[in-house]
Formats: sequence, C-alpha cells, structure tokens
Amino acid sequence: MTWLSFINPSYLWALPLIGVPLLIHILSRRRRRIVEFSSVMLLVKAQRQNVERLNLREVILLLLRTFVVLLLVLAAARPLLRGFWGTSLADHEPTGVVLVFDGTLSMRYASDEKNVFEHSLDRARAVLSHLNEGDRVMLLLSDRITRTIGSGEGMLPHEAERYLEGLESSLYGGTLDDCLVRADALVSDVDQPWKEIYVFTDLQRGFIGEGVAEGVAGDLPFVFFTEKDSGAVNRYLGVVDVTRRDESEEGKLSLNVRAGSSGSGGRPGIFPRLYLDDEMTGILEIQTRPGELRTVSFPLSTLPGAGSRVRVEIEKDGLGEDDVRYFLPGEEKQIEIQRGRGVDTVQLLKVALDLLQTGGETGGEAGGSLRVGEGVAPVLVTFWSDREGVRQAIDRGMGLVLFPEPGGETRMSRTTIPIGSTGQWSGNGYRTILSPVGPDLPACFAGLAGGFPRVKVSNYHRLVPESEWEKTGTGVWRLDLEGGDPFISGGEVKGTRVAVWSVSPEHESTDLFKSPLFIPLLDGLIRYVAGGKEARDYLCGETVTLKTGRTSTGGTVAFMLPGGGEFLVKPDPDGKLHFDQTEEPGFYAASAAGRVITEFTVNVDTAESDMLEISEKSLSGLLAPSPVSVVRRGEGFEDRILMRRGGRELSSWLFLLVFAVLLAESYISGRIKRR
Amino acid sequence: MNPVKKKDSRIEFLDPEVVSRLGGLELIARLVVEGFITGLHRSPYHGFSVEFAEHRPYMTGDEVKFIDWKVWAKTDRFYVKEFEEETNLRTYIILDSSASMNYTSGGVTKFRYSVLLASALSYLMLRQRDAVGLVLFDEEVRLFIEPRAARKQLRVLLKSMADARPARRTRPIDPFRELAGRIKRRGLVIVLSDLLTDPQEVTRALLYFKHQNHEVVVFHILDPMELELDMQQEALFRDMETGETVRAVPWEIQRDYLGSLNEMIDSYRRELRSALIDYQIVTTRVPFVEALTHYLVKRARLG
Repeated sequence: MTWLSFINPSYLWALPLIGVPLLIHILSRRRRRIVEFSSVMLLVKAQRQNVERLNLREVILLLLRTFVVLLLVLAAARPLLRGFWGTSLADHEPTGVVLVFDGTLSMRYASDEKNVFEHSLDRARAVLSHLNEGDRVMLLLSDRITRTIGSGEGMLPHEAERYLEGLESSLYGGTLDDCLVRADALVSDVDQPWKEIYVFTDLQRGFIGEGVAEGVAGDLPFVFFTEKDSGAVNRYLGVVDVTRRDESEEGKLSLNVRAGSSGSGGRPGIFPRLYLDDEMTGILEIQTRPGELRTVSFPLSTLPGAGSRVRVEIEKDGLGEDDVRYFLPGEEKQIEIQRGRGVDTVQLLKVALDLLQTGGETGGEAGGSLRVGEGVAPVLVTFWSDREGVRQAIDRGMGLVLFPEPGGETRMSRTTIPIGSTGQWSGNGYRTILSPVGPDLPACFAGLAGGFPRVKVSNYHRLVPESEWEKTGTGVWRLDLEGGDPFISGGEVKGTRVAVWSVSPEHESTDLFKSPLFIPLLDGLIRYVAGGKEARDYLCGETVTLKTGRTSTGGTVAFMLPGGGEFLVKPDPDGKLHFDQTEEPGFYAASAAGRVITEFTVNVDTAESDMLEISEKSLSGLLAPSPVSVVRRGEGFEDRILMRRGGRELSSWLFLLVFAVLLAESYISGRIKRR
Repeated sequence: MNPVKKKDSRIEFLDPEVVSRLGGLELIARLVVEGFITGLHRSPYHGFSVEFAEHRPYMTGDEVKFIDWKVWAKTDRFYVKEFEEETNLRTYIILDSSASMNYTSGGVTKFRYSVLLASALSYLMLRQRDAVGLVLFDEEVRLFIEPRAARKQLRVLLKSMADARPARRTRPIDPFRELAGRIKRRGLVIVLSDLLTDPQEVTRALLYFKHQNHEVVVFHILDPMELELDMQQEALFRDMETGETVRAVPWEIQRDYLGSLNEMIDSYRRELRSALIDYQIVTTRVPFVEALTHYLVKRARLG
C-alpha cells in the first residue's frame, strides 16, 4: 500500500483483538440469564415489534466496539497517510533522518559518467532538499568501519548537504551491519517524532549480514536506494590488468596481474569477463571504463608451468569435439573435463590452477567428470602429502576434503559424512571437512564416503582405456556414476590426504560472473603470479608489517605501488616496517638498495565482488519488523519522497475518532441499558 | 396497578406474603376470615341463610305450624310465614393449577396466593353454611370435589389444595365444558386463574357456566411483575408452561408488552361484563380481604 504505512507496524499483530468484542458478544449471549416467566405469549408479541430494532442496535454496538479496538490498534501502529491533502514536500512532521552510505569498493562501479556512489550522493541531495528546518539529519559512511560524518546528534539539512561534498567511496569491503544498527540507534535518539533511515547501497550480497537482525531494534522504516540498473549486476572485480610477462620462461604461464585501481588516472574498478574460445584459449576481457574494453588472452596450453608435471591437451577425437584432457606427464594421471554439457569454465581454470599449485612436491591430482542427469560436473581428486596442502585446498574453495591418519599404510578412518551438510568434525584425531557441493554430487560423495578407505575407481571413463591408468605413488581412483547407483571401488590409500572438489554442473561456461568461484579463481591467479614461492596477501587498507634487517639505506625501504611510484618507509626502533598505503589493489614490491626484498599482493575483499544482489525479501527478513522498501534507479525516487514527506500521522485523529465512537457507543448502549 | 383499594389499615396485617408464612391453610383461612369479619363489624348470621321472606294468607293445606300467631292476634286473619330456601348456596371454587400459576417475582406464587384465597373463601362460606366444592384444572380437570356444607369439608378442600402441584398448560375450554356438564344445580362458580391464554377461549369456556345459569366470579390472579414488567436486566425468558424461550430486553419491550396486556385485560373486562360475569384482577400483593370483599359483594347480590 503506497499511500499508507505504519511507523510501528509491529502493533498490527494486535489486529486479531478486534475479534474480542465479537467474542464477548457471543459469550454474553450464551451466558445470558434465564428467567422463568409465566407465559411468554405477550413477550413474544411485544418482542416481535422490537426485535429488528434491538438486533440493529446490537449490531451497531458490536460494530462500534470492534471499530474502537481497530482504531486503538491502528493508532498504536501509528499509521502514516501519504500524499493526501495536497501537501507540499516540505509539509511533513518533524523527522529525524539518517543517510547511510555504502562506501565499499563496489560502489565505484560506473555504468555511465558517474559511479554508483556519486549517483547515491545526488539522490541524497534530493532527499535533503525536501527536508526543512524542523528536521535533523545524520550521516553515516560505512566500509570496513562505520564513520559518523558531521554531528551524530543531528544536523540541519543544509549543514548535512555540505558534508556530502567531501564523501567518496573507499577501496574497502565490508558489511553494513554495524552501520545499520548504529543508524537505528541514532535515529531513535532524536527528538523528532518521525524517523527514517535511507541507505544508499548497491545491495551487493554480503553487504548486510545476520548480525543486523539482532542489532536493529525495531520498526523504523528503511529505504534502500540502489543506483544500479534494474536487473544488472555490478561487475566490479578487484582485478585491473592482466598482461603476459615478457620474461616468462617457455611453457610457463606468467601473468602480471594488477588489481584494483590502475593508478594511471583511470577510474578505479574494472569489469572483466573470462571465458574460453574454441581453441581453448582463456580470454580475459577487462572493461576499465564504459566503452573501453581491453582483452588479454592466454592459451590454456601454457598453464602447466615450469616445475609442473601437468600437461594439458586438447583432444578432439574420441572424447568429443570440445573435450579436454589433462595429463600429468609421466604419471599419466588424467583429468578430463567435458565442455558443452554444462561444465563450468571456471572449473577448468580452477583445475589448471590447482595443477599449477600442487603439481610440485606436495601431491597430485586426478579427476573425472561426473555425469549426473543432463549435466556433467567435473571432479578433481587431489592427493596431498601434508596437511598444509589440505588447508590450501580448503582455502581455495575445495568442496570436500577427507584425509586419513598420517603415516598410515593403507588404513584410513572410515568416516561417515552427512551428505549435503556443512561442517567439521573429528575422527581419529583428524578433521574431516565437508563443504557444500553441487546439487547432484551428494550421491557421488555418498559412495565415496561409504567406500572409504578402500577406494577403487572403476570405469573411470568408458572412452579411456583402463590401461592408461596406472597406479601412481599415491593411489588410483576411478569414479563412475553412469548407469545407476554410484560406487567406488579399488585402490588403496597410503598415508595420503585426499581432496575431492567439485562444482555444480549448473554453471554454463560463459556464466563466469555468476559463479561464486570466479573471484577466488582470479584471486588465486593473483596469488600465484605475485607470490610465486611465498605469496603474501593483504586486503586493501591493511597495514603490511615487514621485518627487515639492516640495509645500506639505513633501513629505509621503497615500496613500489601497483600503479607506479614509490613510497619510502623507515623501520621503527624494532626494525619493523609498517606500510599502510595499501588502498590500491595490485602487486606491490618492497626493495632496498635496488634489491627486491619481498613482493606481495593487495586485493580487494573478494566479498565485494559478489555478483548476486541481496533480495528485498531477504532484507525484509533481516530487518524485520522494520518496514523495508527498495527504490531502484528510475523508480520514481522523488515521488516516493513526496509521498513520504507529504504524509500525515493519523494517530491523534484516530484517538479522537476513538473518543467519538466511544461517545456513540455509550449513547446507544445507554439506550439499551436500563435508564 | 392495583385494582382494589385498601379500606382499612388493619387489613394491612393480612398482607399475602406475611399471611403465607403463617402456617397451615386452615389457620390462615381462619385468620383471614375472622380478621375480615371483625373489620366488617357485623355478623354473618344476620342475614344470609335463614332469611324471612314474606307473609301470605293461609290456604288449605298449609301446615298450621307456619301460621304467624302474632299477626292473627293483631289482625284476626291467618297468615303464614314464608322463608328462603333452607339449603345454602352451592359454590364451586375452580382453581387453575397450570404451571404458569407457579410464577412469582418474589413473595408468594400465584398458585399459593390462589390457594390461600380459596381457603379463606371456603372457610368463610362454610361458616355461612354454604356448600363449597373444589376443582383443579389445567388442560383438563385434575380434581373435582363436590360441594358440601359440612364442617369437615374445609379440611378436605384444604388438604386437596395443599397437595396440588401446578403443572402443564392452561387450556380452560375443555375442562370448563366438562365441568359445566357435571354441575347440574345452579350455583356460584369462582374461578381463580391467571388466564394467560387466549382471552376468547377463556370467555367461551366461562360461558359454559353461564349457560347453565351459574353465577360466575373470575379472579384474574396476576403477579405484579406480569402487570408491570419492571425488570432491570436483559434476560432469556422461558415460558413455564411451554418451555419456549424469548430473548428480550424488558425495558425495551415494556411499553408494547403492557399495551398487549392491557388489551387482553380490556378484552376480558368487556367480554365478561357483557356475559354478566364478574371479573376482578387480583395481584398477589393484594390483601386477601379485598378479594373477599369482592366475593361478599357478589354474594350479597345473590341474596
């Protein structure tokens, strides 16, 4: 209902009370005193002439009493009537307004000349323009932390407007939980009888968490303004530039990845698209500004790098036109991924990355495709020889990690894993970690779990001769889900760790941006490229602390920023360097006397690149019982302000009406009651 | 609405509710009647039963003992004295024992009042050597006691009335027709009833007695509440005879109710007067003596 809302809608739960008069009426009729009378002959005659009038009066009384309860409940709920009586925008009750700005990085997304945050400021000015001297405004800006802009006790609208000039979004991620809770508390404290909270955000999933549900007390109206195009997703990713590095060794993929602001005068934020072409070349398209698209390609065949024992081949025969097989040279471990049947390209790249990262001394992988229904989901089985490898696998988003006792010959703890559940639990002193997997894979994992520890993989793929499979140093695996119930048999595990990772077959190869794995993937690429041997990663805004020894420059270290330029940092008395100029995502290097001491990456919070938008329903659920409305770009923003500002609180009128109705009730019941 | 005005302050001692609590019917009847008679300051023996009528000339065949010798001494002519009939009046007290008679708004029920009144009448009449009988009726005749003038008749009547329990509905037409057939000798019929039924039916039923040349006196016994409907609370009214219920707000329907009631009473008055039937409204708060007075007036007319 656009013309009527309630300031305290929680009181509307009392609406069933309007049944109370009816109940009392019915009960009183039932419990009416019975009087023995000699003969009702004359009563009936007299009653016949009065019954209609009496019934009418009773109905009127019942209605009036019900009406009184209804009015009282409504009055308690403080109804707000909007847009009536031709009120002007400025004609509204004194209102306390909190403007909450989502200042996280994703607000820098720009689909036209202004980014989302700048559009939000314009809208905020529009809100302020409709306030008057009786209103008070508070400003909150939130990214990692919540900041109060100006006075937290309420400013005049024109004062608040001045503060808007200096606002800009940050490079940080974060949720709005604390900010919304604080907004709720702030506006509750102001004297103005009306209170409203306007939140300017891109509604990116993750910006609001469960914490807000407990923190927000009540029933104040929240209005969320999102300046994104309806239905569009914010494609802001924390990766700016990917180029091939000239000095790369042959056969080794070497990517120079810079993330976040380019620092070259361009607007922060890029919007990449990653996909594979027919030649199985990975293509990364980067939109730095509207109309500007940069493309970087990197053949997958180059993914297996130096030191890796992974070879990726594209085989068009036998496995189908688009099928790809990965082999571990010499060990003939094989990964097969079928494209064109719903296989996620992200998975493909992920496999490649996993191979790159784990192809050394830490373990090995095997994988397969799970044909489930119409879709095919790839499965990667990764062998780890140490616990750290497992941890890394988990960190990279692997779905299921099982690992047996260390040093065991063939024994692995039999572990029953609730399929489809999420959690951690202990078994024989080691954790088993299960994360959500694709919707059709539980059956596979059920078989896997049930077959542990003696896992054999039979009929890995019917098109691949079994002879191609040889026992590796750590095990042989075959998974088959074709033709009925899944099962796993054969093979032995000897003192290894096993990781099984999968994604849902739902993802189409070009739906990269919808994949929650995409950003971890790119994040992994950044880590890989930047870190090399030992990647050290930080989030934007974090302080990097390095311990350095004596240098020829007296301890001063030059930090190379991603966008060029240097920043000199002197160590503290303890010899530690504190480098806090990390707003810009990208690749950093610290050098002293021309020698690189360390390299590290700084990236945006991957949560900021969440592609999915939180729904209005979810918002309402989180903020309940506060009324929540979401206003999108082009949805009559000012009209809504007009309606809200032009409203009248009806409680006082309702109480007057209650009084009048009670008078009427008393008059009529007085006529019915005895003199 | 008190149709009978009080005549004497002493009569107040005979308030029905007070009298009702005194004890046995005989005692009450005696108290009522004796008090009543004391109030009248005249003896009942001076008038009613052994009444001189006239002198007429002696004719052959007349018994000599009836010759009035005093007249002969004065006039030297033979005259004989003539007297009224020696047998006293035959009175039938017809008492309504239907369930509605059990109603009371406080104090005595209509039935109890009627029984007390009938007891007093019986006592009074028997003292006058009238023969008194009793009939209890509702839808039919429940009890029929032939009139007798014997003293012991009083106890018979009182015991019968004391044992009676009001029940069933009032439908006088059949029982009255039956009674009219059974009562051959002319007499006085006293009806005590609330007459809460169709007035035309009641009138028609009473006419059966009139057609038999009986003198009829109707005491319309009503509770004050029935005459006023002065209740303070809305209630569900249940008919004591039919069990029918009516939801009513008394003060809302009072005017219409009283209108209907008065219409009914007027109808009784009009119809019964035209039939030469005495009709008297008596509420259960009216002292018995007033009702007795009404009876005496009627009795005097009968001579």
